[in-house]
Amino acid sequence: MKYVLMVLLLSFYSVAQSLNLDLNFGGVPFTFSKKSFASDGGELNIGYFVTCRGDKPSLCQEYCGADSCLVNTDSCEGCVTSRNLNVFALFNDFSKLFSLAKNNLNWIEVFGRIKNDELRMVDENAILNLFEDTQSDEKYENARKRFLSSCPAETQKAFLLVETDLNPLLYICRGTYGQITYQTKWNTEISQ
Amino acid sequence: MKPLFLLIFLPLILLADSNLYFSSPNLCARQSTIPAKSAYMFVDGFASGRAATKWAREAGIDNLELVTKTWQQLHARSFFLSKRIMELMLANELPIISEAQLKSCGQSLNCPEFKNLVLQYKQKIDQSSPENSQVQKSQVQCTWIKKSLPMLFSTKTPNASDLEELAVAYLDKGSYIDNCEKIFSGETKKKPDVVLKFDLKDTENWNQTGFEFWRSFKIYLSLFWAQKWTHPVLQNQEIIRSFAVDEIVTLMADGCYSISRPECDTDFLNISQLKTTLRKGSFQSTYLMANEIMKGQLSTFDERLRPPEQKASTNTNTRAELMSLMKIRHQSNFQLYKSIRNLAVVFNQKNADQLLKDLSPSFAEANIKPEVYTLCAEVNKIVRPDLSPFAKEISISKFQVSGLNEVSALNQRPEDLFFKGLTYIQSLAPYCEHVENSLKAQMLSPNSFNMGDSVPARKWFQTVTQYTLPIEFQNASSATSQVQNSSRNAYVRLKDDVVCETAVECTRNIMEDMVNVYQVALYKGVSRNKLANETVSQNYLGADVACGLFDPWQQSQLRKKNLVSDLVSSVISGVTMLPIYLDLDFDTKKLVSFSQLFENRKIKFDPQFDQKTISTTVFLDLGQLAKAPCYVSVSNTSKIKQPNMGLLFKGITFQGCIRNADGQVVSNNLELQTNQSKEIAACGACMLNFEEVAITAVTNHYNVFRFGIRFIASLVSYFKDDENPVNQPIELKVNPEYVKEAYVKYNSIPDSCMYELMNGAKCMENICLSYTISELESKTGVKVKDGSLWNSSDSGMSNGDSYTDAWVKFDGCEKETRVPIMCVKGKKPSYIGIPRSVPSCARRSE
Repeated sequence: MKYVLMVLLLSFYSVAQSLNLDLNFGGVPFTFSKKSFASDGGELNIGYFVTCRGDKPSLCQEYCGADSCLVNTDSCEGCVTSRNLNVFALFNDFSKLFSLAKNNLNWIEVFGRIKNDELRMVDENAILNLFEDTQSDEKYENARKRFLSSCPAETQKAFLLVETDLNPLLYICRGTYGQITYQTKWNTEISQ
Repeated sequence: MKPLFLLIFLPLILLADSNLYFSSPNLCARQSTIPAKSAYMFVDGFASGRAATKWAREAGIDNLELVTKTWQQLHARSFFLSKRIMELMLANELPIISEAQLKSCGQSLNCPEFKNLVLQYKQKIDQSSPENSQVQKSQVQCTWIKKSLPMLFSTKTPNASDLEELAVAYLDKGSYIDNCEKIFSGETKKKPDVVLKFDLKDTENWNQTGFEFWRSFKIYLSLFWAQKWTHPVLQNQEIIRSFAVDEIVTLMADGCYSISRPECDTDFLNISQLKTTLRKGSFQSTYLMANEIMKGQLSTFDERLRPPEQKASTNTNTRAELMSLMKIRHQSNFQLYKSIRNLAVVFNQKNADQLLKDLSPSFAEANIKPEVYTLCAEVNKIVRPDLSPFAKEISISKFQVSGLNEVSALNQRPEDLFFKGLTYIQSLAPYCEHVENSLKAQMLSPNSFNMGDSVPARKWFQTVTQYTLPIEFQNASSATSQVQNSSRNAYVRLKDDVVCETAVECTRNIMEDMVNVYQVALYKGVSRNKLANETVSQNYLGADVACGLFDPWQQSQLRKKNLVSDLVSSVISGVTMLPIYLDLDFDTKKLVSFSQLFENRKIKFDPQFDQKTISTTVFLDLGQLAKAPCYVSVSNTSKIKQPNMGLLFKGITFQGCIRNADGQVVSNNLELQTNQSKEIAACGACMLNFEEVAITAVTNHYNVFRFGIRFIASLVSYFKDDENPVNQPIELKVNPEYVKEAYVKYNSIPDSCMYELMNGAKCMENICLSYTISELESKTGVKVKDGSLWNSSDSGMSNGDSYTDAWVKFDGCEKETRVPIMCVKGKKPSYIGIPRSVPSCARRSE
């Protein structure tokens, strides 16, 4: 009985710890990834996928009906339009203008907005490509460093969700325990 | 006197069964207020090709294959969607977008009204197939323009050699034009760009609805462009649809006509410059602007028609040119963002009252610091229209910028930040007046005046009167971009960065950022120059002006923006009063350039200004035009000889004098106090002569955009002159088929043919017969093989002075047909009785 209790306690503890980790780090029970895929017409395409962790398939089942699904085929990694520049401009000063807060968005709603093209998913390439040809090496390198360091310590930049007016909404950073999401908010120093 | 024509030949392209029209400027001006029925579409494949390269790299697929496929898709999508939208609109199956809808959507495509339109009509686009559209007689004719003719653009009537060039090109018609449908088979895929010409048929009430048609078309194309489609022509085009169509497609009216209401177009700014010189209702410059753009496009167009592999290796200049265009586009947005961010940060931390309070001690000091003098000089440039063209410009636009909502910082709009800045700077004016008075008093004092170490003005201050695009500002504006990490006494700080150390610096930053915001607004063509609009609308089309309604294209037409930007700069520089005068003698050559005058020390500067600075400014303002030839007129009388155009060349006309040979002051436009006045022998003026400059500009590859405003201005001078024959609306018509016929027949174009050919008629010995046959062919669509003239009232003899009958033999027929005419020998027929029907044997023209 004692052992059973211990096992129960341990399992409860590990679940709680996992929940706690998720809560503490804004971790999500799924991961975003970007990869090539062949569309129905045989076209080679690039898309952003969401994959649920085996132990927590609920979101995927609710949203995709499978463990993994394509959420977006935004081709932004290559495109260079003046409109995207705002994203880049924001990155230049991101850590000064914004701070990151724990995400409390409703994921179903977020996915819905991605599907409806109201949110755009981008990654490092998508942003840095913008200035690849138009900036000096030094400026480009500085922008790259700023971009990569805009996730909190111990994490690395993975993806970003921007709204249609290209304001950043959600940071997806890669941490030890998986992907962590952060919402942006204006820095207090400048919004007094 | 042989009339001097300035003929504009815009339809540079040879189109089957189409006449080419040469219009006098006056006629062009009139036509430019009428909506176009034909338009060129220039599709730029550079950006999408670049995107495809990156994508291919990432997806691990063949680069070249994806690039060429992307280009083919881009061309096909542009053609298919455009044609389909036009067809549906002409068939009233796709409605004109109402003003209420436009107003309701504001400045966004992402609004419920537009989304509904997409949902409602998307299926209609999908329903068509390229095969169907070929079988069914379309109301929209599309021609793929493969190559343009050399420019026929001069101040003179086209001559025989111009027409010979035309004939040679026409003989090789296939290498100039082709069917747009060939795009589907991939014929354009190795070229990044494609130029299409759309001709609309059966347009009803076009003068009333044409502009709305084009505006709606552009919005539909923007809306439908981004959609996913099931149609085979439009499937799987992720790369292309991710681009905003207005950034890669340029639509331009053919000929002298317009696709947007002239008063709504961004060129109203040049109208504001020219309005004082225009006769009411006589001129709109949209066409001319388009012409300038087209020249630029087409001159580089052939160059750019190269496969990508060649382009990469040999055509680096073209790539550099494109890159610079892209750079400007990007950096203008970047500049805008940076400037509004700076304004937002400063005003968030210090409101205007606080800034003024912190700044006021600097004005009250006994020894005013040099930085305050400089600050006040800059304040004047913003708020005093009597001293600054920039201030004048923003006062005309009611101190407003608009249409920059695509960028915001700290939830604040650029318009509001600009206005906030302006209000603050205006509040400094009285303080600066005090500073000026104090400065003047010091200058007049017997003690030598020492300003101390001067503080240089910001770059914008020096460049606000020259042609500066935001990119240059961006490179030059160091003050706001410099990051100083270690200062402890920052006046405004953004986390670790010092935004500005003192109230003076902050104020100067605010001005710099305001100028940048305004420049970008001008660059985007969205500044709201109400005064100019009101004037134009009163003169032309009444109060019902559609300006201000959303037109996504208007904001992002790259080439137009370049031009507009230049036009705006011209407006600014055009009102600059330069402290400069000429010291000429009678030995001065009649035709010199400004540069030559300067090198020969014939140009003097007001000694109150630093000579080096002012000469630099003037040269910057003139740019390439400094080397353009100008006519020097010298007079020892009290009046400078001043042609009409003198007025129009403010800023690049240099004239003035102090004393004539008797020592009398003869001109008061420069009140100089200088010890050098005795050296001045006569009054003089250096004016850019229109004709010379036009030719020089064309032959020496002047920047056409930059040149545009002067060119337009010089054209306007023609309108001013009632006696000038060009003031008459004149249109010359050339049928390339007839030109080719004459060329083949005579192996050249005989001078004796010129009159007939330039009036759309065949080259024949007898003008009466030539016009009769040409008219018959044009009206009946049947080819005429031969003909003879008769006078039935003169015993059937044809050698009299007039003719009553033409007997013509239609191609394919044996017998001749009588056509009643009234014609005096050597003149055009006054009457031609076109038969109601033609013999069945007659062969139709191809």
